[in-house]
Amino acid sequence: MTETMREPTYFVLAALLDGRLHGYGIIKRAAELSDGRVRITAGTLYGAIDRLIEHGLVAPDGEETVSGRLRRYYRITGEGERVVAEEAARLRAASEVVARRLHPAEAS
Amino acid sequence: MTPSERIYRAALAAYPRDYRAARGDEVLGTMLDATEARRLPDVREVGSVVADGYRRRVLASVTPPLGALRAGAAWAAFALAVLTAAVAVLGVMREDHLATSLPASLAPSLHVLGLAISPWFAAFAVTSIGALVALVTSARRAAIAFALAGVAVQVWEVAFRPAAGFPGAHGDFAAYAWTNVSTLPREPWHWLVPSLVLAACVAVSGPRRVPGIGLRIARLVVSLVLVAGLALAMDHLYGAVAALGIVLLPLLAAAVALSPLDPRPALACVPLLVTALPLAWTYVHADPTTPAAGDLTVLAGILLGIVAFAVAGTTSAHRLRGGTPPQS
Repeated sequence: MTETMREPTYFVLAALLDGRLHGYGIIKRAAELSDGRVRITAGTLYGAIDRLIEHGLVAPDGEETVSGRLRRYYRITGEGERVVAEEAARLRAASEVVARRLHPAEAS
Repeated sequence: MTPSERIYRAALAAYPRDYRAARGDEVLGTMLDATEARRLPDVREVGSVVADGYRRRVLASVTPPLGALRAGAAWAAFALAVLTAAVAVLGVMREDHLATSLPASLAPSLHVLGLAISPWFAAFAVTSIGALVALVTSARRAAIAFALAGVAVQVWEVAFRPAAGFPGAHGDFAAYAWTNVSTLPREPWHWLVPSLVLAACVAVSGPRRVPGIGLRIARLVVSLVLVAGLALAMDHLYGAVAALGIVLLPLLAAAVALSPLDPRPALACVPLLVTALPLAWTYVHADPTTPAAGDLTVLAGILLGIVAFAVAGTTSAHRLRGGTPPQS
């Protein structure tokens, strides 16, 4: 994925770092990880998941039917872990650019 | 089914049919899980699914290599089917007039509901209209079958039709074809070529794609040429007023063809309207230069027009419900 990663995509990958999840599981986990700030809707989720699958960062990992509702599980791939780690490093470096200027003493 | 589920299911129609079949249940389950605590459906969920569905449809319509060529071939096939169906319907409906000019082998020998119909015209009308409807409904195999049947009918006609009694000579195709065009619908043997091309075009045409501006302009040009040919023929048969109506109607269709929407349903209406309206006009005004068009022929033309509209309407509704991307 050469383009800048969008926030919902970033949190989808982050949510899957703890293990495989189904669609709603990813939505819940992303909300927890962001303290409720990131609320991924179904359309956004599946748009992101299909792009991630296409780029080999996420893979389907089985399915089950619970209470008549189909749940398909997804897991992050090795490439996905590498990409999300790179993105985290990029975000950390970007945040430090600002932090160093706002709080020079702390940053050094 | 709860109100939320009903609305979520309706929102899934935004997805292309294939995607909905493969993932619809999963997306629906996730939407229901995510809004379980709510009494009312979540507008954000509905909006996101509609937006994602639209995005997927746009992506699905991106023209691949050769896509423009295939789309052009599909449209050319459709335009040819329109022309041949129009002429065929015209031929059937003018059999009373043709009876005086056709050789014995083609003369009307069937009488259906008061109409005198030659088996050859009837066979050609069935095959060309069948190909047209199959094209409109994206039934490619049926379209190919009808087109090939139309070719077979025409080969049969050309092989067994007596050469005498017609202007022009069998071997002089160009002069013969022009004579045919200028005296439609008397002698349709040059339809053999359109039908062969039709079969070939349908065979290579793939899923419909969003046409570029070049293709849309090409459609307009082809439409105008077809319209001009029909108008000349109709002027010969029905007079200038009917010809003007025939020009205006397909112009409307050409405008639709220029739009990014799928033009086939609208275009499908044209040949039958072209047949029905001038007949109705001449019937109402009892033009003395035109052989009398009986009640049944007018009625049949109008009924065929209504059927064409119905086919077009259901086709459009089908697409709106989530069939192929608008404009293939």
